[in-house]
Amino acid sequence: MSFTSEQIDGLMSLIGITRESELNCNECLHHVAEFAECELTGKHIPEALEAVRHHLTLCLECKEEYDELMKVLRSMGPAA
Amino acid sequence: MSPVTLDWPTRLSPTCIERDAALVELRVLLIKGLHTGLSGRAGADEGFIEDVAQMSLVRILDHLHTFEGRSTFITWALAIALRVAFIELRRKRWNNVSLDELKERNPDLNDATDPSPDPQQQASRASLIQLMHRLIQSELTPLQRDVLLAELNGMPQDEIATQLGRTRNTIYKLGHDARRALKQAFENAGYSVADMLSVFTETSPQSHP
Ligand SMILES: [Zn+2]
Repeated sequence: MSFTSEQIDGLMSLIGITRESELNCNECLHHVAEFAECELTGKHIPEALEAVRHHLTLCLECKEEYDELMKVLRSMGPAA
Repeated sequence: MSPVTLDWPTRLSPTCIERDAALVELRVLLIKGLHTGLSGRAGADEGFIEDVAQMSLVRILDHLHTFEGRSTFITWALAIALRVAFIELRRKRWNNVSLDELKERNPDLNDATDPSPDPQQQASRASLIQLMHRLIQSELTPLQRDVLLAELNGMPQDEIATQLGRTRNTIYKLGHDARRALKQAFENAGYSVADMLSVFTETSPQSHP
């Protein structure tokens, strides 16, 4: 099995931000609503939620879902 | 009639007399949110959105006890609905691609072009790529290599999980363990993460798989 140059680049970037302890996708989903509302209202992100931000930099799938969640929340206005 | 004062989890609980009305109301909110969140996505037509809303309601009710009130209920429910929707969209897009096909599709590293014009940078990059290739073979299990290859090709974790007969959490853990093992092996070989990133982020046209 081989990897292309672009894949190696992507992997190097991921290795660079790899931590010993990370949230998995289900754990990210469990906290992402709170994280999204903090981001939306400009509230301080509690230390415990920083792991969500980290997961979103690593996981393109959760990031894709998060981006759309933010789009939906913004469309609903401040009452969301 | 008095305005609604009960919270969502109470209204959705099996014993609440408002439950049916709450389900209808929540379904409408989910469909509205899904329309916004999935607008422009191939395959996300009206029928798809209705199906996703229904599947999401089931999942939301199953997980009602995990809602801790740290966000509004609707934001929490929408996050679940979008997870359900994207799992289905990705499944549609990827269900004809097998892991074996991905293995065959990948060209040999020797064919890969180097985007850096600087010969010294090219040399550093080439040696790191060779080392990476060696470490992938020596430090990872065959299963970790398969997961890594699939992820780097953009295959969704749920699809990898289905094809390997595992859960999405297990796939994430396999990928995480693989990244940790490679990071440690690079450090053992005398490279810091900063060294690696300086070589790769300066030359890389994209930094994510
Ligand atoms: Zn994820």
